[in-house]
Amino acid sequence: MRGSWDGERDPLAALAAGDAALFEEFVRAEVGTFVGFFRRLGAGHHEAHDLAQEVFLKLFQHSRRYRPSERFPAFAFRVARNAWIDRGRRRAARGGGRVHAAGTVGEVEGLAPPRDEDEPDDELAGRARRLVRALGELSEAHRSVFELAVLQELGYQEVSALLGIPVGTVKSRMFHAVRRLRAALEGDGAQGEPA
Amino acid sequence: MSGIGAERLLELALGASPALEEAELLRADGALAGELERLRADLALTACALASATEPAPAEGERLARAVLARTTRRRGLVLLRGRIAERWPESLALRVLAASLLVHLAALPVLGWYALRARPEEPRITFDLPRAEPPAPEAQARPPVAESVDALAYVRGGDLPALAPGEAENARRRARFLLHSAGAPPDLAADGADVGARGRLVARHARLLAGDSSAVVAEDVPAGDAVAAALAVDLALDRALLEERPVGLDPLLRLLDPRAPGAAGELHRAVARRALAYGWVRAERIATWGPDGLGALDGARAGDPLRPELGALVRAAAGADRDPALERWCDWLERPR
Repeated sequence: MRGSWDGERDPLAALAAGDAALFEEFVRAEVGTFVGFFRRLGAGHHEAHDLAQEVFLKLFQHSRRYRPSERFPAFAFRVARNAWIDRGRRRAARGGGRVHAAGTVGEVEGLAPPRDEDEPDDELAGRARRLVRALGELSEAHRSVFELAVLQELGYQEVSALLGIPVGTVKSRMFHAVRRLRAALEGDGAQGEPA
Repeated sequence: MSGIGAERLLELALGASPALEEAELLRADGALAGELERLRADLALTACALASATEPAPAEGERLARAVLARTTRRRGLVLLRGRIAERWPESLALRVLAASLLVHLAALPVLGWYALRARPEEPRITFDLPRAEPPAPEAQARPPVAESVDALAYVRGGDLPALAPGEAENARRRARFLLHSAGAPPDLAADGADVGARGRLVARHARLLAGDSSAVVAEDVPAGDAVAAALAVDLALDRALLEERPVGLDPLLRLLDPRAPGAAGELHRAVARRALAYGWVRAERIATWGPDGLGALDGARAGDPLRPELGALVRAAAGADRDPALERWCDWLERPR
């Protein structure tokens, strides 16, 4: 997350106390975080927006009975993770998709930014495209661990609790995910080096 | 990487605190420390690249944030209520019954609306009673006019009808006038040998009234000593005065009237005199010539006539010094202004 939302800056605790300003600040600062979270998990553009709105709505509705028992970012991503699982169930019920269970390969639809072939490839954009492609080749289980641990900066214990898997499994998945992505980065470096 | 495994190194790169031994190893082994730094840099670069590729642009993020706030803090009460309902829905039978009842009522609304629109509102009926004249009696409407006219003519002739009450005589006279006006041209009355004089005068009157003859009725045209002719002449003059709305040359004719005359001719005189009095066209001097007997005969002189004060003065003058208290009160009543 981009901001620090824990302790005295817990948005839901403030909301439960009657102060909506911190929650509004949280929404404005982190709306992109959750959209990116769902995009990296494999949601389409509009679906990621809908899911992000759903997360904020659920957090808001939960504020009435909110009791901080963990760090707020871990709680928020637990809500986001449940929204993602519910989305998979809804799609399965409609017969339009499949449930992304651990170990299956998720689909990353149009994740990479569109490339204009006539423009010279920006270094960061090109690297991002290759990383996204590599991320999309990871299983959802590996991708989720990487997402929560690297991009959302949750600790292994928090990732373990959130995903309901042992810490050792988190470490193992994390290791493999990073190895694949570093390999993509190293290949990127080899490609980027001048001949 | 001696001493620190790859998974642990990754954990350290993600921000875990190194143990004391791990810290010693990193200080002692530059290659290991370099590997950790490269790993940190790669992770940061990966995170940055992935974030830039997947997160929305600032303007798009702001729009989405506004939409979220519009559904949350901007409508806080409604959102919390919906959340509470959704939370209690599965376990609250009362809530489900209430929702079903609401649904039924909402479904019935169009039907009720259709009934309400279809039924035209009853228009308010405002009634009030208007005074209406009683219709004429059926026998009066069915009466044959010809036979009546014969009776009336016989009466006007001064025949033997003294037994008629004054009111009946007046009615007969009015009916005769009406029939003469409405029956069209009279038949040749002379042919049956009847009283040509009286009938001739009536025919002449009829012709003068209906034909618009504008010549005035004058006293000199009335045959001397013919009481009926005199009364009819005055009556005709009254008709003319009414038609012209002004009494011109009426006083010489009124001089012919004698309310004290006996018999049917007297009734005729008194009726004409009452009529002239009712119109207010009889001067006081003329009334004085009729004397107390004549005034007494005019029992039809009604209260409210404009001549009443003059009548009071006349009565006082006629009574002279012999006025008793009752007569005085009667004269006072006549002279009192109304």
